[in-house]
Amino acid sequence: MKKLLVLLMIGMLVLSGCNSQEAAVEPEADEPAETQETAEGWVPEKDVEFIIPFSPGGGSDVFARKMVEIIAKNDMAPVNFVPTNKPGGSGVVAYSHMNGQGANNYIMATTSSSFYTQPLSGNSPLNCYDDFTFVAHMAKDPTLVAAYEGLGMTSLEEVIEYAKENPGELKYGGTGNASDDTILMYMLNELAGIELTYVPYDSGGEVLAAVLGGHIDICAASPSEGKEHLEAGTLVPLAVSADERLSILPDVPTFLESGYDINHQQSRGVVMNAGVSEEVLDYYADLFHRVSETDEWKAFLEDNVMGISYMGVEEYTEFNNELADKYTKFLETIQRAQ
Amino acid sequence: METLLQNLAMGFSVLANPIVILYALGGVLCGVIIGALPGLGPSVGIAVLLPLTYGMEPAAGIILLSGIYYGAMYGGSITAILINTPGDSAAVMTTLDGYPLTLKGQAGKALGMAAYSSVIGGTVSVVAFMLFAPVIASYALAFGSSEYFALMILGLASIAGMTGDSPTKGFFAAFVGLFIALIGLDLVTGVQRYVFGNVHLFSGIDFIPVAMGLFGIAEIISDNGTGGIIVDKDSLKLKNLFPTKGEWKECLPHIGRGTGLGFFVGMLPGAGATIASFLSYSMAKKISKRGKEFGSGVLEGVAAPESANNAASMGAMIPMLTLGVPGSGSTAIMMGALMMLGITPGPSLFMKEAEVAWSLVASMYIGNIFLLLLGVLGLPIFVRVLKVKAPILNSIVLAFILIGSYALENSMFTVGITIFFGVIGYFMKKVKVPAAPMILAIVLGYLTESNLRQALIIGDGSIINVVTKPISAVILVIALIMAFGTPITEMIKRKVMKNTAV
Repeated sequence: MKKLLVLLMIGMLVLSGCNSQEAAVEPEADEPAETQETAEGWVPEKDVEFIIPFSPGGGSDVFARKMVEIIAKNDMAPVNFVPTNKPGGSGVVAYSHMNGQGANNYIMATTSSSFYTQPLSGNSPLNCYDDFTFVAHMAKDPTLVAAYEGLGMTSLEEVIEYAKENPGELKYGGTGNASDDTILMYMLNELAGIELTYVPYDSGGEVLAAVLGGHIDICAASPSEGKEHLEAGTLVPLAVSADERLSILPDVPTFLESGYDINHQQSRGVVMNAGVSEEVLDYYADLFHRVSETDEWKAFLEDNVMGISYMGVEEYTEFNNELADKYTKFLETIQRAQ
Repeated sequence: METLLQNLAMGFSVLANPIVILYALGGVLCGVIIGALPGLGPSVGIAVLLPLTYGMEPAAGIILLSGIYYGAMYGGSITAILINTPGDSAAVMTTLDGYPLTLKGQAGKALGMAAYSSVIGGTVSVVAFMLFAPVIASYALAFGSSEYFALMILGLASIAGMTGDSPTKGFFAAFVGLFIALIGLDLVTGVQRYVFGNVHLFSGIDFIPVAMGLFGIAEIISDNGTGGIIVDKDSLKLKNLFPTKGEWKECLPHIGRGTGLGFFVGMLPGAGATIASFLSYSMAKKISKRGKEFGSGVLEGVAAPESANNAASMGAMIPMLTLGVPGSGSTAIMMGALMMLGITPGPSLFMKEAEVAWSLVASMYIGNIFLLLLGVLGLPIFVRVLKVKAPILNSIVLAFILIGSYALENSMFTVGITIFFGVIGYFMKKVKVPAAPMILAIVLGYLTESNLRQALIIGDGSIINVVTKPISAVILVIALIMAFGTPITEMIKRKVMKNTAV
């Protein structure tokens, strides 16, 4: 009995040790199979550490694990991609961990907006221009801006008119204090010449609860979260920040249509450390290009209301610099306002 | 009523499939084990086992996941009672009386009571859930930042109820906890506070490694005469595993109140099971005739928080399912899981996805029965842990704690935090400074601050606007009574006695 118990405990020990990482490791492709499309050039010879800068279950986690799943399922690479969650410091812990490994060909991480906001607001020792190489840009997340139903306003125009007459009165809630939600509001403030007041929350759920209860007037929400409430009439859509109208919200206009030059979206891509050779980058860029062309990937983005947006190394690097400039500009505005 | 029963029947018909029943059982079993492992709570459990549900029928998937969820709520209490290490945050209060009961040789009774009160709390809440879900969901929205701020103050006021012999030491611990809650990036301005450039501290110090250190490690290294955990052979006798009639009588009112409070607090997005168990414990302590004995090993002290945390876990499902607003970390992950299964929680869930929604409700009934069965049948096995020799058990527990704290963020930093607080906890034990107020202050400190800051922005910077909202005003008054009621009434009593004596 005692032996059995010790055995059971060891079993539990093992279970507790193999948390997120191992649960998701795909058993296949253990031995290097021959590579299909990249017959020449560099080919990875050992497993790749695929860093997810946030906790299991979140948006970044789901996003990263889907890519890993597609690579493993379709035997796209001769090695395993091992997803590893390194949450903490809004991504800074993960990127610092990666950065400490120098020009390593077997470690990469996904990006989200905190990739830009943390370094640019002085909360990271890293620099989002020079400390990384940009492998592949994969998707963009649009944002829905909606109003409390009890406010009695039905369009962006109405809200802006009211805000012009009553500066500072309307409260706009979003996640975080220097996030995409924040930037979106300050862009609108600047372009429309209004003064909305920003209220930071910890999570999208809290923002939604606050706006549904009428504690704040306007919210930034993910379109998939907001959709149900738009249908039920408990939220009034104002606009979406996206390149074009969203397929799940065909009746909601974009900011661009409404006459405001705003299409700011969260950028999601895969980055490696500075100094990784071009050959290596090309290999991975090609791999992720193939991922982005699978039907599975397209269906995943559609389900999660993300826009497909593949960019290879050169294009992504250029895009990154532009995006970082944009973040710098608005983060300065935000810091002045605070 | 008739449609309600029809709906419920529809839900049960989905469960008539043996495979689905197996999922429910498997979910509860996994949940209990995961909950019992220090550091792994319901959110980690759900996140890790989420990939299993890919490709399952949505109904089966959600039944499995919710089994993990409420199984873990009970599982956390097993290690809390047996080895003074809360398996998850909601079980912290269970250690206060659960572990002293173990030391008194009543581990079985404590575990049994934890199981019964969890199941009662859970089952009553499911009924309440079924009857009132849509109605109460909209009331929960009446809570904005000002109201949450008041609720958190109420929670902090309840520290007065758990300071033990010396209020000074209790409040000292609480203030240290409040200080720890300040570490990290400021929510509103992003300014770094006490982080000294260490990126690991940016998002603050999580209270789970702190709790594992203060309770678990401190217990292991503290020298209480026997070199660690005390084992009493008597506690393993079968007849000692069940509470007596008299004990039931003592505990039932507390279970009832704990259930009501837990359900209500759980329903409020952002409050959750941990805070529900804190409030329930301190309320029980205030109300119970044996209030002074709380902390020395009374069964009510286990019944109150355990009924509350399971009730809260059901309550938290309401805003998640009917509004799409998750009330806690674990429900947020559940919601993500539902969306991956192709179901969007929200106002129309119970109409559009009636079958899935009602089978979930039905599975909660069945899940609670499994929980009871596992709890009672598992008792003799769980208590056997105490038969393992102290050095062996201690080293295994230590390994669990360290692995669990690593698993939180896949980082050695949290392991360091756990060990650091283990050492701090050792000295706190030596000088008899209670650990629970510190944990409570860490949990509530951050929430108090962020809600106050939000409320102030919304109220245009005026504190008057925050405290005069009807709900927050009422809660704040209750908090004042809770904090200062006892000392004031005692002062008056003393005065009256003096007068009559003269």
